[in-house]
Amino acid sequence: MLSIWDSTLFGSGGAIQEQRWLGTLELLVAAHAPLAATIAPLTLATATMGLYSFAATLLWGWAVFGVSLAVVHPIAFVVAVAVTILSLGLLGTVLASTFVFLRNANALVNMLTYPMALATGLLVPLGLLPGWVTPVSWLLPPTWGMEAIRQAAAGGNAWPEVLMCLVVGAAYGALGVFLVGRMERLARRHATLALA
Amino acid sequence: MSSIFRQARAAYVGGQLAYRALFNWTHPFMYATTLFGGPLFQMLFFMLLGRYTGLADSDFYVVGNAVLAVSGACLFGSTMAIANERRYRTLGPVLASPANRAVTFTARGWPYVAHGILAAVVLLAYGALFLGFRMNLVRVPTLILVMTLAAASCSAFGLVLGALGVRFRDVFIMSNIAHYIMLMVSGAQIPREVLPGWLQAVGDAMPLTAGIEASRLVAAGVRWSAVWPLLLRESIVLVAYGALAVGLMSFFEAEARRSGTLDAI
Repeated sequence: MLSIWDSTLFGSGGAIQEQRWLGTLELLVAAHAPLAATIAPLTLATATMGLYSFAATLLWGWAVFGVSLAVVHPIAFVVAVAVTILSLGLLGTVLASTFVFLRNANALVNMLTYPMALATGLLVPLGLLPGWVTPVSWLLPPTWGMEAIRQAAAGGNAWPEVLMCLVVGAAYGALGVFLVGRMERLARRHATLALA
Repeated sequence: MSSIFRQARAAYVGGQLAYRALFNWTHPFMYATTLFGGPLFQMLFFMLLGRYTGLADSDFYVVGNAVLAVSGACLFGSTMAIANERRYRTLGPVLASPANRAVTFTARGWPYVAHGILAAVVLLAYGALFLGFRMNLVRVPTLILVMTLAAASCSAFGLVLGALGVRFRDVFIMSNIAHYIMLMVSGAQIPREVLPGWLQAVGDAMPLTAGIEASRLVAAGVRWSAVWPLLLRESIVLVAYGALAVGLMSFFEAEARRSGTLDAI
């Protein structure tokens, strides 16, 4: 899950930064299609790239450390993974919006890997963290996605978490569309779009 | 004497200009997040993971991550010092100048050493204030000296990767992989005793490994006689990577000139 997050994080930022470096960002912004409609497929694609890391990590765990890959509810498992990637891709549009406006948002993005890992309880139980972190974790798609995947693998009911992951992801998608538009206008006003 | 002074001045001014231009931060908030935010969250993450798994105590992670903060700045900064010249298409003019290559590129590392030391000091202070880290304050200057050496060897390693950036299109893949290898084998996050022998051997050949061990000994108040052999090892790593960086830079520069690929991105 951490690898999917990393893929989304750096892919979403990189997608915009590369366009800027290659001089194609202005063309995308000038096109008739809304910028969010151009950016969302990029962020979804980079989140999907994380699927490779997810599969590779599972295979390495099985081959090197003897971790069992038994999944009790395979259909729920596949749906949970797909919904998690979708919701992370939608979260990626929010991240990408900062790159439209900020010249070097890599600094901000580089910092986000570990906070997300901590706040969603991916590797360290939330019980070890201060109490206020738990409500924050409810607002983050990986919390629900990871729980859904765990439930599906262990034989629990994964569907409520799948639904929550979808709802949280949709909320980030709506926020992303709003922020991309807003950041685009700010970048035009401050003339920072083409600054590499 | 005046020639040495000129070279030192070129190193200082060149390093300063390259740092400001190629590190490309535009706002103090961005700079602060790069310098302090990332290393701080990394330290908290591994410390909590270490506590959860019972692998090591907080002091282990405070000192390890303080030195690692140095590495992050020096490794990526030094890589960017060369690779970003290419990306911004300014590498050609730099290489066309008559300046000494070794001075030009080794000078790129010094601001990152200073930058990394500042980040390390902030992490140590955070550890002392919030995580119960304690060390004799008399030993702080020695610890900073040890960290400076570790930072210098990391910068040299970053310049090796930066030199590869003259030949390869996306060198940051390599610096990211190198960073993760250092996380694993340097002893910063995982005690080296639990690693298999071959991974320990990889760690011995990497920068920082001896520096981190020396830093922990200094922080724990261990005698100097136990520390200096580690500093000698880190110095050898520094010289080896420094020489490799200069050699690779010369080689790839000649190759790029011959094949006309210097500005290809």
